[in-house]
Formats: sequence, C-alpha cells, structure tokens
Amino acid sequence: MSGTDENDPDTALQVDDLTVRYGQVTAVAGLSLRVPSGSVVAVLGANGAGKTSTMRALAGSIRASIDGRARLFGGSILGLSAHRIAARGMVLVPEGRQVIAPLTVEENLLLGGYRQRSRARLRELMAECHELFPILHERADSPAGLLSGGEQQMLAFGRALMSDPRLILMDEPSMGLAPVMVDRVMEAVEALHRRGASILMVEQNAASALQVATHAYVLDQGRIVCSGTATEVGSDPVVAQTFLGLREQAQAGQAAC
Amino acid sequence: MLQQLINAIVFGSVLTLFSLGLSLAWGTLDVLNLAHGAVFVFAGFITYELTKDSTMSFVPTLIVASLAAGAVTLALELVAFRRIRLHFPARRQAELSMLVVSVGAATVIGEVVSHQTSEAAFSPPASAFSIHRYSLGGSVGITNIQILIVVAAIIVAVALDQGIRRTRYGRAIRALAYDPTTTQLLGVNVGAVAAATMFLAGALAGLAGVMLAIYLGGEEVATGQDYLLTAFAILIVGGVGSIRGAIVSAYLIALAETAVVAYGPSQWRDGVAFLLILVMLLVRPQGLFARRRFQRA
Repeated sequence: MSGTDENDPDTALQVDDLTVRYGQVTAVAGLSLRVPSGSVVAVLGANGAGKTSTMRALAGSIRASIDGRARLFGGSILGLSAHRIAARGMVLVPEGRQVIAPLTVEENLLLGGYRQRSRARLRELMAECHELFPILHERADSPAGLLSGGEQQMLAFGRALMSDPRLILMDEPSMGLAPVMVDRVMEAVEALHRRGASILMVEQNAASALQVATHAYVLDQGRIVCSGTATEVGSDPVVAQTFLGLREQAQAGQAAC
Repeated sequence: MLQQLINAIVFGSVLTLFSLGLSLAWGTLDVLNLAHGAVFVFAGFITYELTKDSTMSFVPTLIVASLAAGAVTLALELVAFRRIRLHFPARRQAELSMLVVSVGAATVIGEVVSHQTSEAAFSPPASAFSIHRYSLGGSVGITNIQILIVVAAIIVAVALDQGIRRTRYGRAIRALAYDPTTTQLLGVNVGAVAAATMFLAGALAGLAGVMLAIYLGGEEVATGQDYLLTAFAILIVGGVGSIRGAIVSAYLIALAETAVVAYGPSQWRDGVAFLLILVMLLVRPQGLFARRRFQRA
C-alpha cells in the first residue's frame, strides 16, 4: 500500500534517480522525469545516451542492475517482471518494432490483447485498431514479417493499443523509416494520444518528436541535461544545434535550460 | 498385408504421442529433452507399480501415470531448464546446457526405474487391462488397446494442432518460440507458459508410455532410448517445431519400419531411422513441413 501523497492523479509516471548499470558500465545515471497524465513526453538523445536502457528498465525487460524509483499511477514498478508491469496498464513499443514475424498481423494484434479476457472487449479494441490503422485490416492474414518497416511500426502500435494501455512507452518509433513514413508514425502517435493514452517516447529524430510532444527532456550520457515544454526545449540553442542541426538559431537564441 | 498395415498404424500412433511432446519442447522452448524417453518409460513403470497388486483400474492408472510423467518433466523445467535459460541469454549456449542436463536426468530416471525393477523388464499384470481381439476376417484382427492407442493419438494430434493454431495459449507458445522477450512485454507470463508446455510434453510421453506398456505387455529402461532415436528421425523428417510434420512423419516411419520387419531383413529395423535422418539432412534439412523462416531481429 503506497502512501496517499504518492497517488497524484495528474502523474502517469514518476521516475526518480533511475540508474542502470551493465557490470561496470553505467548506461543511465540518476535519471528523473515525470509524465503528466494525458501528455506526450519526448526524451531526446543521441545514440548511446541511455534511451533504450531507460525504456527497457521501466518495462522490466532488461538484464542489468537497476536502482531508483518508478511509480506508475502511484504504484511502484521497478523490479517487477515485464508481464506484471504490462498488466498494470503500461506497454512498451520496443525499438525495431519487434513484431512476431511468423504470426499473422491479426495474431500479433490478438497477442497484444493477451490480457483482455472479454471477447467482446477484444473485438471492440480490434475494430478500433482497424479504424486507426486500416492497413492492419487489409493485411490481417499476412505474416507480420512480410510487412514493410512502416507497416510493422503501425502493427507495433496497434498491438500496444490492443492491451488498452493507460501509458505507452515508445522506443525510437521512427528508427529506420523513410521520411514520409516518419510523418505517418508521428500522426499515429498523435492518434493514440487523442484516444486517451499518455505517451513517453524516446527519439533521436528530435524535430519530428518535438512536433507531437507536449514536454521534452534531453538525455546525454545517461543524464538529463535539459527539460521543459516541447516549445522551450525545441528553442533551446544547445538542443537546436546538437539535435536539430539549426546553427543559425543557436547563435540567435537564448538558453532555456 | 492388412495386419501389417494395422500394426504400422498402431505403432505410428504410439510414435505420434511420443514425438509430439518432444517436438513441442524443442520447437518452442529450444529444449532438446533427452530425458523424454526416460519419462516415457517412467510412466510405464508407474503403471506397473499401480497395477501389479491389482490395486488400480486402467483409467485412473492412465491418468495418474500421465500426470506423474508430466510432473517429472515440469520439475526438470523448474529446477534446471528455466534457470539455464535465465543464466545464458544466448540461445545456443542455453540449448547445449539443457541438452546435457537432460542426458543426466535421463540417466537418473533410468537408474531409479532399474533399481526398483531389479533391472528386469517390467510387465503390468493382465488384469490391468483386459485385452479383447476383434477378428476382421481370416487371421487379421485388431485389439481394443490398439483401437484405444489410435483413437488417443488422433484426438491428441488434432487437439494439439488446433490448439497451437487457434487458441490464446497456442499464440503465446508460437510467439514465445520466436521471441520470448517481446512476448513477455506483451503481458504473457512466459515462465508459466513454458512450465505448462513442458508439463504437457511430459504428460504426452506418459500417455504413450502407459499404453505401450499395456500393448507390448512390458517395457524396460532401454525401450525409452529406442523410441527417442526414432523420435529424432520423426522430428528431422517432419521439420523441427512442426506439429503436422511430426504427425505425418511418425506414421511414415512406422510404415517403413513395419515394412522392413515384415518383408525385409528385420535386423535393419533400427537402421531405418538412421537412414531417414541421413537422407533428410542431405536432401531437405529443413524437413518436409518446415516452418516459414524469418530472420530474428
């Protein structure tokens, strides 16, 4: 039973002092962040900044030593098995999509709804998925491994939606996709957000992520180096130079972090 | 000729029951369980123990012995295979360790049974199951235990095939076989699914072991090893992890072995399995019913 002071209804996820170590290597060093209910939070960072380690640690899917605290809607989740965390209404859309290639699109979606015991609810969610991502309806009987990268990302989103999540974690949803697909993916993120889920997304593609995010953090070498609303972070000169490639802004703007 | 065909179908049914469990464990959990044959004989031994003083009738014996075989395999999973999987993230390394552990387990189970039966073949008494023979004209006939074996194999084969294809648990097993990490992220308790799968695999070996003990009138520890070898041929011919492949090739190999015994040099019987393994590995190493291959990400 957690204390009432920690049951803040406005907070979907509160992470304090998260540290992830692989042996002697520290991947995440004392990271703290908050995902307000109903927000889209982007964590920006380059390769090796600790983004995937953060996501995997929060989802309970990592072989590493973890310290710190993470509360999902007030309940502590750090150290729980991945399937128990999923049962609490948080789902991770993993890096590289990780669709179950030999299973059909429909089977992947049903697997996403594994914990939905009501068939009626499962049908509702499936209909919602098909409405949001019509391609998943068209390709329902095709093995997931035969979809294109962008289609697989839609499937990974749809699969997450099938669990009817309150918070969706996304690990680099735009990775490896053509620019036109990146835009489609960000539209899908917005659609999932409108549906009512809070979203925590890590991205290298800062420009795209900041378009849909309400809040943003910048992660560098396992530490948060900048945070604020998406607009604030986007206009920060260091961020602009490092992640957005906008040198002219870097000279003109003033520091927000 | 007809009698040989009946014998082949009965033999194929025993092989189906035996090899489906082995295929399930190997195809989904990468457990090449060399103790599968020992568990099979263990169920025959339990049958013998439960019936030798005419204490238990057939159906309860069948259930208890199958559950006992499932429990032994479940214990192996919980004590050894699960820990190995957690300890070695690399599949190949885990596979080898599990294989070695299963050889050890096979030896231990075999020794326990040998010790209890004074290393002799053990035979459930005739009272365990009263065998009736139905004449099909001339010298051709079929017994009630033969019918039971065939019916059990058909029920199990269809149920398993459809269960794996269509149920929630079946989807979880197939997903687990491909990518356990992601499967767990989706809310599947992969440890529980693996445990249930190993229990099922053991119970199927048990079912086969009980019925074979009654059918042949006796078993010994070495019986398990013979069946294990034949089951490997079945898995290789059928394609690893393919339920339908295992079923079809179980009957094919039963036909081939029966034909060799009946019409050919019968001492070549054990060579049939080896020959098929060799030919398949040369000609079609993925098996007759290979699963579609996907690159693991």
